[in-house]
Amino acid sequence: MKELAGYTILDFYRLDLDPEFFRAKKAILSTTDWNKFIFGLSGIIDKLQHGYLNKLNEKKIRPREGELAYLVDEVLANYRPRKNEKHNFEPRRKQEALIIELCDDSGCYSLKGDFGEFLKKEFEARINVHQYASAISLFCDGKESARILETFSKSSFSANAASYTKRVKRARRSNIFRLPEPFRPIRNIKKTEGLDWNLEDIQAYEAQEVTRGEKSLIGVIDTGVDYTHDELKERFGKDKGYDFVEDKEDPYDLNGHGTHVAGTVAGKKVGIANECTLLAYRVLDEDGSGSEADVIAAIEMAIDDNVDAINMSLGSPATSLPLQQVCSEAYKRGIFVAAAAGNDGNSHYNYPASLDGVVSVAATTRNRKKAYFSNSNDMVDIAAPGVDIYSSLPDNDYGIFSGTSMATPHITALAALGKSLKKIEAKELEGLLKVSGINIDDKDLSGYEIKLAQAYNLVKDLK
Amino acid sequence: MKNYQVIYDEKVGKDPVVKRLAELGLKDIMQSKYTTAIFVKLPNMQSEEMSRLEEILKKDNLILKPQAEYSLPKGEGFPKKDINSEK
Repeated sequence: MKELAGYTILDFYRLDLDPEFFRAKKAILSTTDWNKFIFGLSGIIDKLQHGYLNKLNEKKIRPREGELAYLVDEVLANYRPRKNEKHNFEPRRKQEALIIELCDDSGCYSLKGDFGEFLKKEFEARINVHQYASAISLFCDGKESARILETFSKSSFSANAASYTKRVKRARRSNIFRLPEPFRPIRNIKKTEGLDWNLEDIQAYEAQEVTRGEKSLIGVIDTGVDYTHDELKERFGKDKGYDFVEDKEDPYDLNGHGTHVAGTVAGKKVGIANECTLLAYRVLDEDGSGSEADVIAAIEMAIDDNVDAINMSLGSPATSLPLQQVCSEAYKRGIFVAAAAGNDGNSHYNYPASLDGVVSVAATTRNRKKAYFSNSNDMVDIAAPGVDIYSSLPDNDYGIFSGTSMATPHITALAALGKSLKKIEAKELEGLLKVSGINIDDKDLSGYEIKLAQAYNLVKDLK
Repeated sequence: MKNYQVIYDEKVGKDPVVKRLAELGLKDIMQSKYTTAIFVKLPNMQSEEMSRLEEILKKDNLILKPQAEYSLPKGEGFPKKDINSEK
């Protein structure tokens, strides 16, 4: 997705080309609920990306990073949030997008080729020439925009352009808005219908009729956890875990990531195994970085604490012998270890996820497709929901994150459910997860078959 | 300071390695229970100094390697400073 200083641009022109997208667009335009609007929008982006990737896949084209560029259009401009509605999609004041719609005599909307090159040259490569839209866009401040619009409206320009058989149909200004791109976390979200799609999709509610993970002890190795959160405070005993970053006994979360992950594992309302016990091991600092020594020390402490499962929503492209050794030790002791497959959207390995004895978790969407950002390779073992996941954030807050990090705690929670019913080794549990999962249609994109985990299917046989 | 690890042979055992590292003046070491590595923090060194240390350790069948850096998967995270700035 093309991003400009943290702002993502959405191309709603292309939506009109597809009846499904067009219906979705109409639906979100008519809503008056900001939350629904956000989710409608992010659902569309997700679909759009899949559609786009599929299209490229059919043509055997590998999209370059940043190629998924979209134009701001009437959806955001037309939407009027109600008073006091909290959202973080503010127009960026000092910058705006110019949208210049073009057409030619044949009605062809692709601007690839000479004309695009001509425009790029004219505007020093700042212009975005969209492959699937009959429009170009460029970003500029208010002062520049008047001059550029004038240039486009000049007949001399049209005359020049005529040699390329294209002409300007309409040129206008548009605000640049911050959109719910997959990784942009959204906070201050009140729970509304449909936010728990992940719990429904993984059969969490049915499974909770059987078990809620009682007696299971789960280690969350992450940025720490806000153990005072209403969703989580009853899940922690006197021992909260350990902070390896600052070498102290208080593993409080200064980032938010670990609290979100822990919420999915065991949150009272937002979680799956909401009667298990948690231990938080803080190995990543407030910026989300940490050392190998701390990760290994945390796994070792979790082993010594006799946890039933370890969640590691973190990774590195580099592997190491000590990391494999400590994960193997956990595996030998029957501890279930789940880790995030990675968000690079390719088939690269991410560690510890791709180590032997570690369950590598990919992310899926509401439509039960692999999320476009999710890595997928021969070491990925299972998939779980990982787009628009609603969970806890520090200071009794809630928010939505996306990523394979968000998929991983679903699987860890399922391990907690399974282990609460039966003393079961990690290897057996991994096998049962795969057998009880359902196939998702992913082969066209990645070439690897991935199963979406199903909680009730897993626990009903262990009862 | 930079994070390194010293990998040793399991047959040799951890204790002699810890002793040897102490003799070499390496401080700030972290022992590991289930791995054949000892984690050390080293001051920033010139490449010549680092090569010399690597050679010394190599003679003792010890391998000095930088530690891998771990992070949240690409694009994730919500630093506290951002939370505060949005409030």
